[in-house]
Amino acid sequence: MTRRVFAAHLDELAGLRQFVGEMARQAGLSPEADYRLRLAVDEIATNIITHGYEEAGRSGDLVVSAEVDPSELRIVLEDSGIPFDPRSRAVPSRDQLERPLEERAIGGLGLYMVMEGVDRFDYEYAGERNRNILVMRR
Amino acid sequence: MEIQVQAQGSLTVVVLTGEIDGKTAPEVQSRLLPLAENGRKLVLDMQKVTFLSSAGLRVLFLLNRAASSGSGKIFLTGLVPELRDTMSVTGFLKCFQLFDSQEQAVEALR
Repeated sequence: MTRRVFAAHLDELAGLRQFVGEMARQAGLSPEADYRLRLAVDEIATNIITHGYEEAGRSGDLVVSAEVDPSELRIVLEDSGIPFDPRSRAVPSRDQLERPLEERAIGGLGLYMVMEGVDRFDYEYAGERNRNILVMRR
Repeated sequence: MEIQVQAQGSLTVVVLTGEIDGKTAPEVQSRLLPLAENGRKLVLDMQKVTFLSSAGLRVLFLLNRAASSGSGKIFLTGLVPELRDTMSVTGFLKCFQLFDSQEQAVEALR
């Protein structure tokens, strides 16, 4: 397992994506799967930093670990921001996504891309920490 | 994030270089929104944009709204496959007129 600690700040997003990209390449993911995973991790991390920490007046860090086994790569993001299960948030329906932009609201696209992009998504809250788990098949 | 703005006749051409995420999107928004509001045709050269999160989609959403409320229009050029994929799954792709390159857009629109 490889573990890296990032400050909960938007400045850290680029470094976080770079770390996830290195793990994806080491795990032999295709470039497309690598990009989808980096995008999904970026979206989850952005939510944690802005809603979990900054808007809640909290500060803290974002602990990211990568676990590889013969069948999958798991990226786990742990934070001590306010509890938030991304699965609880409504994402746009396909019907909504078909409409012209003028007739649409903008919310929920980030989590929609997370759920579409990874092979499995899990969330746990334990010991006052959020754990977001993003899994890609190798 | 690098943002180069050039006036080319009736067009405004913007060359974007870098990654558009939650950190850089506000800067892109504040530079480009006034350009979309002034009713000119706005060509966004995206060839050197290597990453676009939902924060970047939100900027495109706002640019489109600003342009369509006036007489302006947004054109996108040079989307890399990853961005094209993101815009396709979110239904954004069909809402913008696309060109393969900045040169093609300028040729067609001027």
